[in-house]
Amino acid sequence: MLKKLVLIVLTLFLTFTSSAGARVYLDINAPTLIQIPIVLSKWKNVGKTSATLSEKVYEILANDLTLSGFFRVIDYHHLPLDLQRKEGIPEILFLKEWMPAGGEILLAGEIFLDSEGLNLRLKFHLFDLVEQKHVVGKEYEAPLQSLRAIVHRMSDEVLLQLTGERGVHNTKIAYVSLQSGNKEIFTADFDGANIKQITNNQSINLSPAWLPDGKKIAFTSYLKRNPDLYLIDREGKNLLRFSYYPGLNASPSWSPDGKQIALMMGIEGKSDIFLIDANGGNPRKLTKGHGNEASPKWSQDGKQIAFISDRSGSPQVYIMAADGSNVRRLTYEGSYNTNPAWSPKGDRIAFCGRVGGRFNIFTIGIDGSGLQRLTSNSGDNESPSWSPDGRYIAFSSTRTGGSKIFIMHTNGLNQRPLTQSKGGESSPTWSPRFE
Amino acid sequence: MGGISLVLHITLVLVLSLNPWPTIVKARPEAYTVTLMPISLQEPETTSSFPVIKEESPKPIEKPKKDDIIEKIKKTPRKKETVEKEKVSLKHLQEAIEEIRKKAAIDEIQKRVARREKVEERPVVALTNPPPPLTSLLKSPSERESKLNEYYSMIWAKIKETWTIPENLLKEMADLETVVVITIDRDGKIKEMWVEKRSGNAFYDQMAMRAIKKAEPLSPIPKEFGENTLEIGIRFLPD
Repeated sequence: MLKKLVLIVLTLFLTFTSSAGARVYLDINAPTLIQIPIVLSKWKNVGKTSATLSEKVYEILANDLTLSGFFRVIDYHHLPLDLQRKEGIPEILFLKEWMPAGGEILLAGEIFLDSEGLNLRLKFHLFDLVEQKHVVGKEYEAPLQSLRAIVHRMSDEVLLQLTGERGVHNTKIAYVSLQSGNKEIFTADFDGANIKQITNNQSINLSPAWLPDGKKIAFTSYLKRNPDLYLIDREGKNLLRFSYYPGLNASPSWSPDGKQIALMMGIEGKSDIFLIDANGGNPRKLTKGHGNEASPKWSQDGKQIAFISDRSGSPQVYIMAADGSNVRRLTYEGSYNTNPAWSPKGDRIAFCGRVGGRFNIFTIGIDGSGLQRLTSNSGDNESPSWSPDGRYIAFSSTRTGGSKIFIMHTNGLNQRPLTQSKGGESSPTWSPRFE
Repeated sequence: MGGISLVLHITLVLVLSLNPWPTIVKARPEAYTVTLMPISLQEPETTSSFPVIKEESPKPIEKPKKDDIIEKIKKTPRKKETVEKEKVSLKHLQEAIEEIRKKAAIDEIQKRVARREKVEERPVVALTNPPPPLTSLLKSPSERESKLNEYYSMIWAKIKETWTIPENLLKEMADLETVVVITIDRDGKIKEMWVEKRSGNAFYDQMAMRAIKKAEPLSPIPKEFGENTLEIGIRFLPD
């Protein structure tokens, strides 16, 4: 009897342990860091589409994905012969055929040009080759002249699907360039295409700042001798002088709601941070110290403003509330820190710091922790500006001689020049996304 | 009768004290539904410059293939493993006691690990780089356990090899953690796979699932392991 009971208890015990204790957990850490291998198969031409047109689409797309820094594009020209010839969108059933391509993702598409040659229809599909399944398919229609924009939009979608965040291929970077012999405002697309001269006044034009809606750019110009603030739309039309107080009207930064501008004004031989209304009126002085204050930048939530002050004896980054209260010093490393720029998520500030006589780009948490250096051994690097997704920073660098605009990931990787110019570029400012 | 009751009580107390599983093993996972890829559900976007942007459904709408594990990832209710231990003969009793002894030892180790893990706010036992053979800590690991342990190491190494994330996303993913549970059958095929704990970042979860898919087929379950399937939890960490 006794024995029997013991046995029953034991039986129960075994039942319990073998059902509940079966699962072991393995920790897999330190992933191999890669770029996602994505196969771009040949695009199929439908309707009046010429081979040149589909090659153009293919090129823009491949370049976008490469520039994003997340992908290793496998060009169809480098595929086994039978795969080189396959064009258009494959059937899911035959996805296995793409295994030899060596990618994890397949992007396939086709392009249709209507009989008048005016309107385009593009569609693309993404397939996961590892899991042998369809990810997403989208179709776009647009006039032929919007070709680049529409392909950028596709690239943005690919990024959204495969990295969890929409890309910034449809953004622009405004900057100052000496290309025409004077300091004029220019813009270029994220991929360096569509370089456009926005101002053409043979004066000195500085510190461009996008309006939050991306339709206009504010900047400082010496057009009427005094450094005043001007506004111009992004096509380079409708120039408007809107802040021309005596002395400096410089370094504008828009509040996220577009209603106010923080700027640097110097009226009494010393510079301070002021706020003005969007129409240039109602100036309010925000800073009260004895030092010189410069480079105001609004935080994305509109509650704080970062700026530079030399009140401690050397230029350092400070943060204050948007009403001028609660001033605190952010940077303590180094004796020369300037050009603050608030990340879109609001958690970090990029700035330019001098180390060993050279300027370099850093980022720091807004609580002063986690200082990171992003550039080194590459000339002077200044004027950081975040992309709207917070994944990239544009800056100017003299690494190749003249000052040029560069773009890098916020981890400091994939640094590349924006344009093919020889130099004379400075003060990059990233636009919001154009919807 | 009083004697029997006493023995029963003592045995129960003994059994319960030997059995700290609840502190180590997670409760049964809730019924998750796993979608591997965020299928875009957005409405067609329309803007002035881009008059029409339509969602496209996959060209061939086809039924999942029979052997398509992914399609089956929708969590099926776990089968209750009724380990109907035959009749416990004396021989079995001998084994059972041996089993308990070992379990107790494992429990002890796991309890210690769990305690340490608790400090690090880690809920469960973890095998890390290189996976410390859990059972090798035992004084006399049986053939079965060492085989199984060796097997775990193999699985670990294979999936680690396929665990990749884009370098430029590492920063965004620094604090993420995904736990995927897989059921492996005799010949190393993954019978079932589901996400027990999502990271909150769909892409990170996808990369974890993809790593497992890339590692398939896994090695066949060692003969010494009596069951036909083996369930393993895999926790994916970015560093």
